[in-house]
Amino acid sequence: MQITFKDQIEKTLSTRWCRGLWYALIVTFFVAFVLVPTIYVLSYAITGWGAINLYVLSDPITVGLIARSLITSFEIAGLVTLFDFLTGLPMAWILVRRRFKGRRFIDTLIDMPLAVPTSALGFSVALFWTSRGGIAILFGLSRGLISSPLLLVMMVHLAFSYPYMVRSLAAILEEIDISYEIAARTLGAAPLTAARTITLPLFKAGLVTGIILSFARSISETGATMIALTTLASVEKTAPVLIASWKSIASQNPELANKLIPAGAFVSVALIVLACILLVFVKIFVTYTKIPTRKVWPKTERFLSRSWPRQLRDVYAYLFLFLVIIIPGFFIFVYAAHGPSVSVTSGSLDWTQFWSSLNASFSIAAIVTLINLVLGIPMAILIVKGNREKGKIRGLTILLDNLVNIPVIIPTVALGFSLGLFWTMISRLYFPLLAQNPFWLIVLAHVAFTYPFIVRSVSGAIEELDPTFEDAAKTLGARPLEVFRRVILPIVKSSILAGAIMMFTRSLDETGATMAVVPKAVTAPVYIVTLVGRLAYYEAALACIVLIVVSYTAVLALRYLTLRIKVA
Amino acid sequence: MPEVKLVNVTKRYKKITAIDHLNLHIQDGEYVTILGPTGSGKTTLLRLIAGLVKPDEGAIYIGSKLVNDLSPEERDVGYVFQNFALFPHLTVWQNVTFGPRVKYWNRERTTSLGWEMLEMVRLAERANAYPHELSGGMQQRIALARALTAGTKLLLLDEPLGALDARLRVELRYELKKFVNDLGLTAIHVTHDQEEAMTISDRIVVLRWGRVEQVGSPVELYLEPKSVFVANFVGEANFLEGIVEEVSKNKASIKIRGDLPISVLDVTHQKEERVVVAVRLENMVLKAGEVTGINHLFGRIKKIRFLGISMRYDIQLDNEDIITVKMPTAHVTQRFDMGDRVTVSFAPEKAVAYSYPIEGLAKELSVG
Repeated sequence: MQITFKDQIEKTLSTRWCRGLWYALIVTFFVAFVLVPTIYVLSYAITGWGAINLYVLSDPITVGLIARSLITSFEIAGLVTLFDFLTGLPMAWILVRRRFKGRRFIDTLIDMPLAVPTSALGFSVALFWTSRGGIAILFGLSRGLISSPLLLVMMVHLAFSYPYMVRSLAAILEEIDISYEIAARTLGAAPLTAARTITLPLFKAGLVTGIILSFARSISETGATMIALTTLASVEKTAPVLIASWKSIASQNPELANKLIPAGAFVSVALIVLACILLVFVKIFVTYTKIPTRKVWPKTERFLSRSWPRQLRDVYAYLFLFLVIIIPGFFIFVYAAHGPSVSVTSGSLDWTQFWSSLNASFSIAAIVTLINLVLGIPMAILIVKGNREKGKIRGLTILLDNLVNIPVIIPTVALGFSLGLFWTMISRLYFPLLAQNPFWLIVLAHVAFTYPFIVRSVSGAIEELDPTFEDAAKTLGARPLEVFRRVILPIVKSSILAGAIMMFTRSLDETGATMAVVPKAVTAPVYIVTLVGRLAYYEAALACIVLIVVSYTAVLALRYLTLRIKVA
Repeated sequence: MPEVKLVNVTKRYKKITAIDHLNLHIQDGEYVTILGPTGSGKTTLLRLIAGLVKPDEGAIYIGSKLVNDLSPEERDVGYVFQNFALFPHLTVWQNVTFGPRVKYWNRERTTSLGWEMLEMVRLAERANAYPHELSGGMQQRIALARALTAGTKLLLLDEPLGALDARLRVELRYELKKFVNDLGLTAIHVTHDQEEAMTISDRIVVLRWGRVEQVGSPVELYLEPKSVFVANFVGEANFLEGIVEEVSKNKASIKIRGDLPISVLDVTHQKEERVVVAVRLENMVLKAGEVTGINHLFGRIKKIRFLGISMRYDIQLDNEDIITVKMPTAHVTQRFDMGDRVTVSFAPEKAVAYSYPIEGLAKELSVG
């Protein structure tokens, strides 16, 4: 047996000591760069309670403003989630249970909004409903069809949260063995009865995921909401928009910062706490509510199982998909085609600035994706291994498993605000250079909120991986590092890719967290928000189109590249 | 070289003791099967030897080396998994040469070993196929080739034929035995199929509740089972509960239910002791009408089953006990019908008496 240098390295790295050190590093990174900065605002609220009391709670106007914004946010998120569910369920059903021509096309269409930055998507949807060139043409109106800011924000949020709902419902539906339903039908149940009493109750896990994802996306969206509100010149604000605007005012007028930073912290904490309470409540509610299955209405359900009510359901699902999601989402291309005349003001687009913002966005997304790939995959392995082993570390990994989810539930703007506070504090104490470097501050913020995506997607895949593959590799003489490199990695490759794409696009998308960390940041989505704020609609539309095309290409390229690289 | 020795090995999972102070010595070149019902600790035993789980107590030796602290990759064992665990992303060739490659053997050696093994299992022409493109039997052979390419002399087989259909299972077990013999390997084969164990093993280890119930050659186990459990699990037997009436120099007489006297050659039990008498189904003789004699019991035919090569009759004795008689179809000269009055008998030397099991007969006979 010859021992090569590579062999020696792998042997050394596979020792227990080395692995322990590596895992310690991974956990430390998670705690120091993801967990603590994310929830730092909570401790800030406690230590800074005096300031909050003085500037916020004793000022009825501010309190009213905060309360209204919070109520608005939750109202919108609740309604959006409800509509997502009502229209997403039939769509998921069609996707999973039907085999028809063009199914793959519909499948791709549903994912489209995921690859488009939300601010671009939001702008497109807002223009569709409010501009003269949009839906208004159909009704011959001289103004837009929608004039209520809340309704408009809802339409915008529906467009980007809908795919999350459909995907999570479809995923769980895919897993439910159809033979249960077939068994029910051979026992005499009508299709609808079988679906309602057999499949639906098995379905709750997916429902919880779908609800949490839609709700969390809606409650935290900042950029698209700001754009929607601007197009209607509304003074109404959702909580994330309130935080972002206060942060931006505070950075411009340092004398107001004393008041606005505590106020922002208060809104962030309220947003976090309320969102968490609500989600826990939803989870408990869905888990413990029994879907009524005892009562059966054979005649009605048989009647509704006939072909025309089902066709009606299909028509309804498709109508929603096209009228509310796809057409408004891509309306921006039509809008831009009208030329500069549609612009409200004629500010010329500063292309150099736009390109540099686009460059910054891509650099940030790439760096964030890389960092999290390196540090998130080991975390996923640690979690799965620990949960499988019944030993001492199990308690720790179960804790980590739950902690990892925190950045997903916390609205990104609150997370960004918290990170801003944390890193300002750290930089003031230890690294004065960091505060002057907005680029790395944004990277740190994006690392924190995209981290769960890679951990979740990889840990899910490894959990499903049959542990005997690992055992087989070990008995054939592979050391832990080789088991990982030659067996685990290639098998879970597609999940890693999915996680990477998710992180990349989410980082590219993000407005709220970016603005809450560095108000004057120039990333592409923030630049678009600024353009819309200046009412330079046409220029904003052009920028959106470039952003859409570029990010779509980037996702395709990433997918192509990763599929080609052979992990050997 | 690869003899395997386990000394006082114990493995616990939370509250369950999977392996309980187990001692076992497997000789070099032996083909040993570990036979036992579900949950008896068979697979745990194999995983302990492979190093996939660590023992809580005791010592495991492979060759003369204590391997307790060695990880699986350092133990040099071949392991064939029940579901084969062929890596789905690798071709047959890449699967088979996985071992040499992760051990960084030189290319020529890897290649020649790989072909040698593929040719041995007669699948050289499928080298570029992916596992999912192969049939179950082929996958099983590839799994075996993969385990052997790494050059091991100790082969661990975890129900290697369990995932195959009945016919193929029978065919492949002889092939398996042949490979092991030709290559001079030591094989430890886990199974719950007693027929499989009987036909291929040099020795069988009957495992129960993590302990060795009995070790012996298939013939020993069949002819001299040491407990009611083994008598029932290896081969089939009738069990009659009774009390020892009298023990003389060369025979004992036992009263079974209904005060019926039977006579056995086994004289190891005390007078008045509660016992279970076991007689193999095929050692029972069936006659029409009532015929008197030693160990002749009367009853009626309750059930008749035709199994192709043999016939089985369930007879309800006058004392309500049920006795099953198995007779080769070729030896059936007389036709019996349901409800016929018959006599079942057995020679005293074919019956073995066991002390009544502490946990009751039903528990002793359960194989679940």
